[in-house]
Amino acid sequence: MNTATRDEGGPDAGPPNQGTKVLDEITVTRRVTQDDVRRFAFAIGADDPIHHDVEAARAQGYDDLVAPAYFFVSLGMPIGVEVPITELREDGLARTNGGGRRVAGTTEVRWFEQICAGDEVAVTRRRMAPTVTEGKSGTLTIFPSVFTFSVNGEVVVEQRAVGIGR
Amino acid sequence: MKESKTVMEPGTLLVTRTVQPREVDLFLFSAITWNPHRIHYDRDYARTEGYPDMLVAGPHQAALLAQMLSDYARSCGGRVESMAVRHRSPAYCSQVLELEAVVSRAAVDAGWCRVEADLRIRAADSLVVTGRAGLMLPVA
Repeated sequence: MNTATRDEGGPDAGPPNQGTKVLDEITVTRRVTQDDVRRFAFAIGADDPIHHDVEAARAQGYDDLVAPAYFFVSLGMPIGVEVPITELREDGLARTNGGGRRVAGTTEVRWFEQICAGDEVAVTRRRMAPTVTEGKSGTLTIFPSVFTFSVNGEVVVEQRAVGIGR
Repeated sequence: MKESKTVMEPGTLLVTRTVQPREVDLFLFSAITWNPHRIHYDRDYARTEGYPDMLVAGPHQAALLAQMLSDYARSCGGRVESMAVRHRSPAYCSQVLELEAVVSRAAVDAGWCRVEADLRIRAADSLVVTGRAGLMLPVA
């Protein structure tokens, strides 16, 4: 039973990014493999057999391996930054990220369905126009973005993230 | 990784977990998310930015929280519906991180309990992450 609806607001732990001007939008499609699921699970220490053993996943009613809850970041984070090494800054970030140091700010996630191995996931990233504000440690640039992850035309995960540039 | 569960009542601990991301964890998470930011895998570079050590990436912290919640919900036959987190201070490589979810509200409807929980990640001397989560759990 999932009572979350795709058009209601989720919990708000940070600056809103709704209503901000969309800077750009890009959509890519990724086919999720069993190896993708297992590797992400290993990387975060997720040892539930449904992430590693197809029979265990099937016993729980799934067709294939179930991706860990936060697996979607492995599909979303590479978007727009899969560039040649020569396009990386000294700190390793892609030049497309803009200037300045960057740290994580806030993230809101809503889950509607599980992502499983075999799914073809359409990943859309919308970058919103950055805004500038004054923080305790000086001027901060706020970089909001919205990611949607869809399978068969239905949004399965939505993520609203805010990065902070110093 | 240690884990414990308590009864589901407002104001009480829902689930907690202790993790200690080390160098290989930081490397693997950077690799799996295609994150070339050197502060997460290059100790010498991280120090040039004034950090005492490599930083555990924000999405890595969130992934650990989400997995704790997901494992707990699945063990009860439920699911996690939402999570929101704010990164308040850095977490560094090999720090012991205490993750916790505390019930802030619980309401029963049609055989399901909608649980709202406050989230925290604490390091030894700092509050690293705060947030909230929404879970749907079957009523026992």
